Amino acid sequence: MFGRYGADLSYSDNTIAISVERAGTPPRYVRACRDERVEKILPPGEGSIIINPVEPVNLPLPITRLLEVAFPATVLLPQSERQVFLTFPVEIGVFLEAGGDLHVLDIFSRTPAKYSLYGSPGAGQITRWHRSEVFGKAPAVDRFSEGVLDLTLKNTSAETIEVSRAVFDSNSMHLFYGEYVAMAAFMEIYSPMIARTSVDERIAVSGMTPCIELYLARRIPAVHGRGHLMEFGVA
Amino acid sequence: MIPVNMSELSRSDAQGLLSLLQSEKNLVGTTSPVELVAFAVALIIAYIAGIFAAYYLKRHFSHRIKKDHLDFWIRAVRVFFVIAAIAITVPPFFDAGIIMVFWISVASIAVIAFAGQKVIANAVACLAIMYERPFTSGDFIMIGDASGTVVSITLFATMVRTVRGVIVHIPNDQIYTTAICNYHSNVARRYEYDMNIRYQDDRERAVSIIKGILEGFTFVLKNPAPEVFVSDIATSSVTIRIRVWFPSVWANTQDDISLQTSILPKVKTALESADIQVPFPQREVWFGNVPPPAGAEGSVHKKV
Repeated sequence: MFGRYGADLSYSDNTIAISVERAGTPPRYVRACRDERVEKILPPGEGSIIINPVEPVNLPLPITRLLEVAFPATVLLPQSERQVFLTFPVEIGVFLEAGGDLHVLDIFSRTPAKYSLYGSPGAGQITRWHRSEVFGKAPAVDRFSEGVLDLTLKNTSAETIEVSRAVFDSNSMHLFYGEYVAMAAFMEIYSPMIARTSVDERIAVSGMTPCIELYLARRIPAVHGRGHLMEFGVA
Repeated sequence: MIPVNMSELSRSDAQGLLSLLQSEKNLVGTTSPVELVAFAVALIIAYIAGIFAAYYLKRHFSHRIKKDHLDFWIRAVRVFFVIAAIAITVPPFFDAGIIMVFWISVASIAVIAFAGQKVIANAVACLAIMYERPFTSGDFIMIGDASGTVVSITLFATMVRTVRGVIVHIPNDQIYTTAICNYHSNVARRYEYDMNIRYQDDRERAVSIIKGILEGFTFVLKNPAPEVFVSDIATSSVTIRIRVWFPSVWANTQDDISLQTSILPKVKTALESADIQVPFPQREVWFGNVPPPAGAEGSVHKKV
């Protein structure tokens, strides 16, 4: 289903059904997923439909731009580095590329959303929450439901630290798709309370296609390379 | 300041001062009608330019910037145009005569006196609100008897749209001297609700069912975790208290209508399908003067 489509498109499985009928009068886009149905009339003429994973912070309402992945506590020795594989929820974006513009036609997901609070109610941040197991290698996942997060944990402090959560800013996310949806990230831990996460612009796995992110489609100026500063603890 | 002894002023100095005051040129000033017209035209042009600038800003930034921020920038641009117009056209006025300065001063004082203390108090309160920011546009607040979403904060009043769609103008000085409840200042809020079940119902099972419903609800925050516990053994029921945290930006009213309408029907349905019922109020009435029926001990009592 992921990819660029210049002509008609029809896809359906147990939970998702998408169809684009260019020849129809009028041309229309129809999508059904998890008891929700969306139908939109498309403009006549040329144009491409692009379907790819997008930053998983939009559904059911875009009330945060932070993704929090919770995982079993992982112990890091002082000045040590460790690579772990986690999962993250997948949201699927449908774009209409026409007339020199990239329009977000639809966003949907198979995965039910859950929100959480990172920090205190007064000074904390609302996050899109996802629970993951810790894997030693890329796990087998349903690519329309979950993606694989290749996370490198680096403890730069002089004490042993337990890490059980990572918070990422969607405005600097870079997603890729191929056999599965993937994202490579780095988490530099300064203390049990402070860490910085950042998402790599590249991924080690070959043959992956970079996704069109929403902040690009919506022309939201993103601050690349700075990542997100976690100030309310890593456990 | 250098003290001046009037007796030391020479006669020629006094005559010079008198002639200066009596000079028609300095009394009326050198401002020409053309300069006055230029001033008025410049103000009109600045006003029109401000309208165009506001239109441009709204068109290009209304979906990217919060409304009150956009309003601030629109106001700033319009004020800039007016100041620019004044700066360009007013310098000739500095050559104005004493009479004109006098009348401008009188008019200014009259306007201030007319506006009164209340207006000044409102304006000062506006500055205080802008500085302390107890709320911003879009927040849901409660001030005294009025509660609703802040639509705009102007120099003299704050406009609040109530849940019934009515706009309430609240003077700023009243806001500044009244307790304000802001339901959006924290990113998360706690919602609390009591549910009653019968004595014979399984309390642990009821708690487990409610927790399951809350777990599956998107906007009930994972952390802080929901709390569901027996809070009271009442006269005719067991009270189960539900405490959940949710994003402030999601629930839009002070009575948490979004959460109530989303959660409570599901909780009720789930409890009923597990044969856990909401009890009817029960009261035992004792009739002390009625003889006990055969086989019963003590007084007769009836359950009502």
